[in-house]
Amino acid sequence: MSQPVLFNSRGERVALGPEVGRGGEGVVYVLPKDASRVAKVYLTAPPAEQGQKLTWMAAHAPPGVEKLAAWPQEVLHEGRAGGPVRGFTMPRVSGLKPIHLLYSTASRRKEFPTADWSFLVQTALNCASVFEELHAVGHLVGDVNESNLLVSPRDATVRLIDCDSFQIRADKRVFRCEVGVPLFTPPELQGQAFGGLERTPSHEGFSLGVLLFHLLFLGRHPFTGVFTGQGEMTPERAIREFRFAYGRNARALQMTPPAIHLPLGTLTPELGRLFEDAFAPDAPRVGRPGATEWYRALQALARSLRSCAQEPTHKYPQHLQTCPWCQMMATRGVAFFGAPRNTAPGPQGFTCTFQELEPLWTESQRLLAPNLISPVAPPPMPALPDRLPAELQAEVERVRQASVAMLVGGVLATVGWWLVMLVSARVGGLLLVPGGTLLGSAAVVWWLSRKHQRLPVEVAEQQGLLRQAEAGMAAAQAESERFKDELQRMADRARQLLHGLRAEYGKLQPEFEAEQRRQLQHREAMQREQFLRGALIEDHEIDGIKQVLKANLVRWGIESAYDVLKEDVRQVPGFGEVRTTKLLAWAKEVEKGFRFDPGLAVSEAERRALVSHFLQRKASLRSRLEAEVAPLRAWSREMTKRSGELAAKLEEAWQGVMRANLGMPATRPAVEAALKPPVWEDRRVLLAMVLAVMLGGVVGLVNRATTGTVEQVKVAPPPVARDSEEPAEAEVLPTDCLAREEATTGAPVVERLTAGSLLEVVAKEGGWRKVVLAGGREGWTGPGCWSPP
Amino acid sequence: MAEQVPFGALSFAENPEPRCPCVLLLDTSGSMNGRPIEALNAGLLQYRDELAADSLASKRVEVAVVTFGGQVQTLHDFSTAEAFFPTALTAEGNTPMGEAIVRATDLLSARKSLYRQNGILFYRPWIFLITDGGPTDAWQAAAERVRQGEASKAFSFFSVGVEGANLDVLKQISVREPLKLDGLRFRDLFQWLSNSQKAVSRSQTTDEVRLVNPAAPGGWASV
Repeated sequence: MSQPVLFNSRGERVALGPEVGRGGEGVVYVLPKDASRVAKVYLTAPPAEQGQKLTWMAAHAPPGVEKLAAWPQEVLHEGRAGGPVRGFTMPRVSGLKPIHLLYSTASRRKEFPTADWSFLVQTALNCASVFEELHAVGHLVGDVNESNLLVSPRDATVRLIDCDSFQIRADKRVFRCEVGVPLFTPPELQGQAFGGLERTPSHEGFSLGVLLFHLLFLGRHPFTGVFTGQGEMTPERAIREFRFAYGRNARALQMTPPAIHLPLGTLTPELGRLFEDAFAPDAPRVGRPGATEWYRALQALARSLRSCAQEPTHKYPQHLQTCPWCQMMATRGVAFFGAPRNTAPGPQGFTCTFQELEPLWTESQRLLAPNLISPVAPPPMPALPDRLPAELQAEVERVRQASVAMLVGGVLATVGWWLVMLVSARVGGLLLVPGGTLLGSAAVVWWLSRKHQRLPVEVAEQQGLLRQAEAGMAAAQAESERFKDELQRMADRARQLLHGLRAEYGKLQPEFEAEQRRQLQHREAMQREQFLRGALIEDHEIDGIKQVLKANLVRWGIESAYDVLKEDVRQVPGFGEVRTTKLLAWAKEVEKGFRFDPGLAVSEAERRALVSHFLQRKASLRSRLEAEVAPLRAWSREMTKRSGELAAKLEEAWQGVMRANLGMPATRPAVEAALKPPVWEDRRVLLAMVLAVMLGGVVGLVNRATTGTVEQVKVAPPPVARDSEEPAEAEVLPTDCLAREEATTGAPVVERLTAGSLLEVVAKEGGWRKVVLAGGREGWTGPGCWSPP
Repeated sequence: MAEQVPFGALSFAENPEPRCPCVLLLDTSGSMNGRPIEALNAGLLQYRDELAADSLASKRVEVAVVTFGGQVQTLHDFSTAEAFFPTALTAEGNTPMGEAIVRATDLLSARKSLYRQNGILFYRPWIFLITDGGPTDAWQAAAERVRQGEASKAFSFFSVGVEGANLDVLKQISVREPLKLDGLRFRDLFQWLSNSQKAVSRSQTTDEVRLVNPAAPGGWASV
């Protein structure tokens, strides 16, 4: 927002310096040309009436007003001389602090560290005085609140600010106060608009009473206690319903003061009566005590104050038998006054080291590596005999020999039979059935003996057991592996969590120290400022700076060493390079004298808050650690137990394997050798051979059956000489031979026959045989053809 | 006679100023990891310093911190700036926002009854929610509480969505229009918060304070 162009009542342009404050309706600026004054400029041009009010106020300042209030001195016109009023100038109030910083204990310790209750009583007295003076000329403050009064930490004098909102009684008219805050507003005005309202001294009496109550009762509001009835008791309602929480009727009004409070009886009876009157239900009708009455009563209280014998900072009225502050300390444990840093209960400092955590930490690390029970290493497997036991070996031998015999016998019998068949089919035929039966019986005997052999049965049985035992072993081992993995995973997770907590724990001490340093640094800066502000130029002999120049400096708002270091001295008339340097040198010299008092720096409450915060964090971290470690104890035990169970399982499985192995009659190679015969003895080979032979036989038989002779051979009667027409038999020609047309050697050759031809003999004549030739022809073969070579 | 002294009576006796309670509901779910959580931490520290530097706000504004990341945690119970030590937040887990809102309203009710017991005035409390996601738990009950709280003027509920926040759900939870944080301007957000609370702490407990619109041009948020 750009600053408006402003003119004073004499038509001079007024330049604004830097902003020093800002409120809801205006901004306060430094005046560069006059450091003793400031200007308040409204954010928007106020109504004309406000201009008239300010103009009147500036022209009719009450005598001695500079000691009472920041009264408007000059009206500022916007745009041109005599233009609409946009602001005003007023005296600069410096070094004073808002009254709320004094009346509540926590901030008083910081901002008014030496103020005791007599200081508060004195401030109350001064407030009454200021109000009295203002009321004497017919004006009212109107908008009394916690920020409109400033108090000097040095001497408890007060100044009213925000005078532009006062209710002003001008010669013929009243300029009203259009604002107000509910907490300071009398019951009869609660909820009303302030705009068209002319306030009375009785209204003001209520607000003043509330303000004084705040001062004497350490920041408490007279109408806020604990409501014992139903529903929400807002302070506005309490005020409207006259529920003064400290009054004699409070109980009937269902109000009690807060647990820690100063009873109304602490005050002199006269003051107590004034409060009762100010807040009584009939007050709106009969009127409230005025500022003068308050002033007199407070004066009497101030005079009656005495110091406590135990604690000189405890001030209380003479009419009390005992010190109320000591009593409050004894019964409530609260030290409102005195040196709280010596008496304050509670932790004095904060330390946090890993040592305190060590036993818990060591335990947790031990728990994370549980005692695992490992299985007892199995004894070496006892050696098995290299050879089978004698009886088994004998049996194996027997079976083997039987097999050989069976094979050889079978082959020989078959081959022999075939030879017989070749020589004489008839003899062969006769031999077939008994031979086959014999051979078959032998085979059955051999097969049965093999079947009932003990070794393979025993071996198969043991091998089954072994497979079972080995499967059990594998399962146990897998379970053990899974267990180890799971344990590792859980331990890793817990370890990570614990390390995280431990790291956080380790950070506490440095964090605390950093926070403490921050607090101190902040305080150090504040103390330094206070120290420098206390060094007034006025009070010091400064080389080359005469009285006139000092007055110049003050006019420019440069009063202390602090201002010298902060402001630009060169802008002050009479200050060139040399004097500025000298002044700065002086200020720096002053600054060297500053000694930081850490004891004073940080209020006990602040320190305590910091310490207890970190103690809390430490305790919470520790309990979190403990909460993590506690289940580990049971977990660790459980792991040990489970590892024991698994070890037992593994050992058992191993024993099973061992037992199964020991059940074998001999070493594995020996058994295998016994069970697996040489190739020729192999059952398959044997079978194949037998089959081959049998197949050969079957093929031959079938072939014979198709030619139809076999049956004839079997059933034919012994051969006799026959008529040539008669079909005879088929015969194999033993030698190469010639077939002729006639049964004589001279007859022509019909065909050349080769040895081994199967010929059908149809007729025989004198050794000659008539055979059927290819193509159905017939021819005679000589006797030489049929005698074997 | 040794009367009973309610909890906190001592600190309320030493500072009987009206209180302006504020619950910061901070999303510390995994998605906030990295720069967002760092910016949030820095903003919190600055917020504390701003409050501590103001004479009235340092006595009146009380801050509690509830975080929701994986689980709902009351990181800091109500205290004035003097005893408010924000610990560095870390981000992990999901976003149990509904439970966190319920926790915040519970905390407020407890605090208010503590004020009443100790004769302490209070301004309408604030719940200030900052999230970069959406609730991963049931939030309907929480929304109902917010609606009732706003209707009975039990508290004011403000919600701020960081990039990635589910503004649709926030709109259903919050009676007031949720604000969308511009980038990671947590510092500006907390500056605004402390300024607003300074203004509130200067007002009367019954006033409606008109707040600076953070969504105005140059502000830290958009609607």
